[in-house]
Amino acid sequence: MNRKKIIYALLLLLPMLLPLFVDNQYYVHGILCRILIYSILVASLDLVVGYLGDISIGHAGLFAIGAYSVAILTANPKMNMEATMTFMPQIPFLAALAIGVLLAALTGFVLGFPSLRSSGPYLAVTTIACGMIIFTFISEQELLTNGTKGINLSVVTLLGVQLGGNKLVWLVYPPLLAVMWIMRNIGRSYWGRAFEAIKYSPIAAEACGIWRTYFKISAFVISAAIAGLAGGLFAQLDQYIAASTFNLDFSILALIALIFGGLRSTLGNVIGMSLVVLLPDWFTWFKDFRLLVFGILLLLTLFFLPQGVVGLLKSVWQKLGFHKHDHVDIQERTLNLEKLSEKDSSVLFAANTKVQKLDALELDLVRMQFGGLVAVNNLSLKIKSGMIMGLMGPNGSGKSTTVNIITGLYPQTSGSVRVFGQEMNALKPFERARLGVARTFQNLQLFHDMTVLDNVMVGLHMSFKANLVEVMLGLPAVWHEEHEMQVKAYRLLKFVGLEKSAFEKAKNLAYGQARRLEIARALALNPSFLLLDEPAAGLTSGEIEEFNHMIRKVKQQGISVLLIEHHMDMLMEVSEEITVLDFGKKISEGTPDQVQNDPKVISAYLGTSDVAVKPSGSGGVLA
Amino acid sequence: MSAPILSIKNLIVRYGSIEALSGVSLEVMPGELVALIGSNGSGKTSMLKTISGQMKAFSGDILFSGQSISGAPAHKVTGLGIAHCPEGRKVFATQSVEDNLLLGAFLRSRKETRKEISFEMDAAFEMFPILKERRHQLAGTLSGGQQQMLAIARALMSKPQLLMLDEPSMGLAPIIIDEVFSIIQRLRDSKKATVLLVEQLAFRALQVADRAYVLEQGHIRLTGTGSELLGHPEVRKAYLGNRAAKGDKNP
Amino acid sequence: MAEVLQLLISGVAQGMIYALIAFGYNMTFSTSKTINFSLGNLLMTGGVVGLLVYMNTKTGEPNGNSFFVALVAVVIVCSVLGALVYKVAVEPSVKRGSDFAWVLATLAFGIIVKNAVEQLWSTDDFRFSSPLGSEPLRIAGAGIFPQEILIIIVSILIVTAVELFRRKSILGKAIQAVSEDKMTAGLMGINQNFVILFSFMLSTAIAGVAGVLIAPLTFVSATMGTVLGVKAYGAAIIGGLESGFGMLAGGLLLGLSESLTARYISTGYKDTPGFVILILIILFKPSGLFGKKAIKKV
Repeated sequence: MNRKKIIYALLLLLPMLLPLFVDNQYYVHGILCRILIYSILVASLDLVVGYLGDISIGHAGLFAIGAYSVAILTANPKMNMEATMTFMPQIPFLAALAIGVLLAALTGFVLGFPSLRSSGPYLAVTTIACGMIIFTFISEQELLTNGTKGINLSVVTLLGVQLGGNKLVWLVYPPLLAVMWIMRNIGRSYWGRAFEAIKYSPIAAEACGIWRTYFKISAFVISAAIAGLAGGLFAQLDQYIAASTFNLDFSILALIALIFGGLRSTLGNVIGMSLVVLLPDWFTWFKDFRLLVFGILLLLTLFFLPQGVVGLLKSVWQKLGFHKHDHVDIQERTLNLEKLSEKDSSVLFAANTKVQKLDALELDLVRMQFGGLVAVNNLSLKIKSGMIMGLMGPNGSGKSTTVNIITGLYPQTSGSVRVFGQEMNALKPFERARLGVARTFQNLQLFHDMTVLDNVMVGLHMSFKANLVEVMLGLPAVWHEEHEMQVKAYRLLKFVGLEKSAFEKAKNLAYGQARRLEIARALALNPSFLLLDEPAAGLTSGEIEEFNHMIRKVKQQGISVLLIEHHMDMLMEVSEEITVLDFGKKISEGTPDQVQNDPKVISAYLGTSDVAVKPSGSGGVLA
Repeated sequence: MSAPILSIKNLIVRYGSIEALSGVSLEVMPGELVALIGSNGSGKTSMLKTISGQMKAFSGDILFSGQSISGAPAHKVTGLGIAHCPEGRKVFATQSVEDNLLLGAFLRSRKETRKEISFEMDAAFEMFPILKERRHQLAGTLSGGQQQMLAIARALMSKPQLLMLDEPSMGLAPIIIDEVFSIIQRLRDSKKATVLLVEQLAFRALQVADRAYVLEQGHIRLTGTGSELLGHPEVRKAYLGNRAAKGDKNP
Repeated sequence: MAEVLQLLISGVAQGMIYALIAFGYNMTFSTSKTINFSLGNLLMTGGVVGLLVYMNTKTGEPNGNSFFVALVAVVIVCSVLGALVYKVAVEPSVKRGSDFAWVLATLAFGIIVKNAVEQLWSTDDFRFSSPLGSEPLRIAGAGIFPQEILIIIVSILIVTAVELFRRKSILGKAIQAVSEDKMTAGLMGINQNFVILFSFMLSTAIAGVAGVLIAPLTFVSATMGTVLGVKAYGAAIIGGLESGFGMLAGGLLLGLSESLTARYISTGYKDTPGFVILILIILFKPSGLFGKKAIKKV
């Protein structure tokens, strides 16, 4: 295994030798270096598109910022005699590159904010607008950028070596390797999972304690910095840049390369860009038809190769036996986790002992109004610590709204919410999650394209200690922590009986399994207060038995539970107290027996109760 | 005895991997008002959605006037003479009351003249005078009860042979529910259409129904005439759980 | 004063073109929650078809065919392309259930159309003479191109006709019903697939007409549509994608900001204010000026 890694590492370094042996500049300088530089851009795009799921059609602008920073800051006035530009400080290349990266990162920071408010096609147009504004700026600001006439640059000399011609590989290849390394490390860490979690369900991600704003903005900043780096290197490719390069088509081309290659794969990024650069070179007849061919290829990739070329290669590789089959790999990993989990006997989850003396929940005259509709009407409710409280009511009686108010998804119109004595009103959902409030969702909110294990790992998000720099560098401590958490996640899966599906995609789970996964994910937060919104909907009676058993174990750990359920047998069996809502108002509360025989409850559920008082017990056929 | 207008045989419906209906059979005779009752999540709505083509059956057959309609898309089923008044009313909020009614007669508007359609519209206004008053108002500005009446009137505009009502009482105040059920009763008495009524409020539904089926977790638990089922303890059990029945014996 | 009038008229004319395209985005979005990002390039196809029917490209003069015939040809070709983009790019994306594949798929379709026109026809710019002549009219001292007046009149006619169709005809009401609630529309007997297809065809036909209308003011070339399409999309977002009136407002805002910026600041920066407004809208009112905010249900 290790020997294999060394061989791969050596293979990766091979391109560094090219300048020593190849003189012809067409392929090495002209094509390879272009691919290497553009691949860095594609990798930066992947972070936003692949991980965050936001479409950016403006990365050419970020690329331009890097390129122009380097060009303006290093340009030699002698080479730009007729230029209109006046500011040419001629600072060293590496300093200029660093400034370019910083400026791009700053732009990424600004660009990140619209992504908090909108997504998909709405956000795409914002990125287009940003790209266009930058494009207009560099075309028009002739005093700064020399406009459409462009800037000429001299070859960079580092450590006494002139990095012109084929030696440009030495300048551009190491940064690509570094970017690939960073992207790989981010992708495999809790950071990558947080990005993906936000993509698949921002609501559930926040419920797992992920600070969405922070992670989204960070992704845009990192992505922009990498795009700026690519641009800075690009300035050296032809030692000449002009505004017209950085137009909308260039952004689209990068996007096409990304989709071709396959999302969330550093290798895919390089392969995708290689195809975009090489195909028109190999097939000169279609040079003019290049966009038409790319357009058709893009359609085909979208519909027939959702994993891109890299996905296709992987499956071919596996068929040829060069690569472990997925199921073999999964078996090994499951077995390994099974062994490790048997050794581990630490407490998986338990209520925080500090808060156990306080009431888990106290709602005081909470009211929620949507326009004219009063969904929750001055509801007061108290859940003692360690208790299982049932919440029932007909459709639309305000049960889920109540859960959404408690977890901070809806800001209540008036009234107060206290959890373990602490006022919640000003807290965002992720902050409430950090205080020990975990939940499941009535309409499943799983991260459907992630594995079952990874779904629980997202729930463990708050347990990770490594910081972003450590993650990007891929320090051993980071992987140690990662493995530790995997074992913990696996043990949580065992608790809900899903360990056999650990490496299955969440979307492939049966309904009852998906419900259990939501519970495992919620328990991963190590909550003191758990809100379950219809956890038994659609479960078979056998599964309900298991569920009851599970809930009791949760209670044993001192965790307080609010349980919404339509499945009455189950609700009555596990709840210690039940509150009944109708039209957002509390109509009854008490023990299960009291509630069941309350005429108000019967009337709310079955219509008028007076006809039902005298059971005749006759007629009707039991089916 | 005449042939059933609607006959469902061994219907199995799945949402992904959950089974919403596990082999349900039922029949509706011409002119009958049949109620389908059961608690939340028992599969009532799935049943109506499958009949009207909004959901696909996994197996089983749906016969309408002796003809199989399983698998037909919603717009085709409507054309055959089945009107489905959906759960939550679903009136077109941004269109006027009158436009909502016209949309109810969408398929007829291809073959019939405006005059023929306005005949049904007048009938609807006669049945629901409040709608006539508000005919130019946007449907979204109506109260919940008025929207429910509009939804029923809209369904009737297609001159259906079978009218399916899904939870007409949902989210309405008790006094409005009384009104809605008196309309359903009038519909039954006028013999305008055969009605399949899905309702959570069992006792209400049983009071107006000729016959009823009790659905529990995708299975039919109980069937009988409305009055037979009204006092049956199993009905209450289906809603409030097993302990409810015990509670009856030891209050 | 005369100059301001001139700027306003040309701004409004440009804005109406944006509004027509934006109207197309609004149409498909309301019925299918997808946007046809190839609309700009289909507008270009409209311009090209109009040119081929109406003009003699060798002499640069009209070839004697009536302008009306050109419009009919454009409407036919563009409707067919509209149906094609739906069948080739949008429907397969939606069927595969991927979230935003249709964004890339329609972009790809636009790229294909543009490159095909470039390679199969020409990469040059062609003059398109206005059927009303190119002599500016003198109104209150301002020089106004008759084509600008034509654009404004025809656009208003199209917008009014479409709105009347949406409100008064039963098919229009059916389209509204599908936008509001597909499932329930199906229960009324409305075939939603047909309605969606129709909305794509109608939107591309209108874009094609917009292409013919703008052609005499610019030139006809394979590249004429890309930027128009992007900017009109910006106008749609500014106005609020879900609101027909918003399209008009967004288009006019963009058109006027361009003509005023070009005159009083710099031609090179004429697009910038529009893009800045767009970003501000996304930041502070993501549903657009006239869009409604939806409550997320969990």
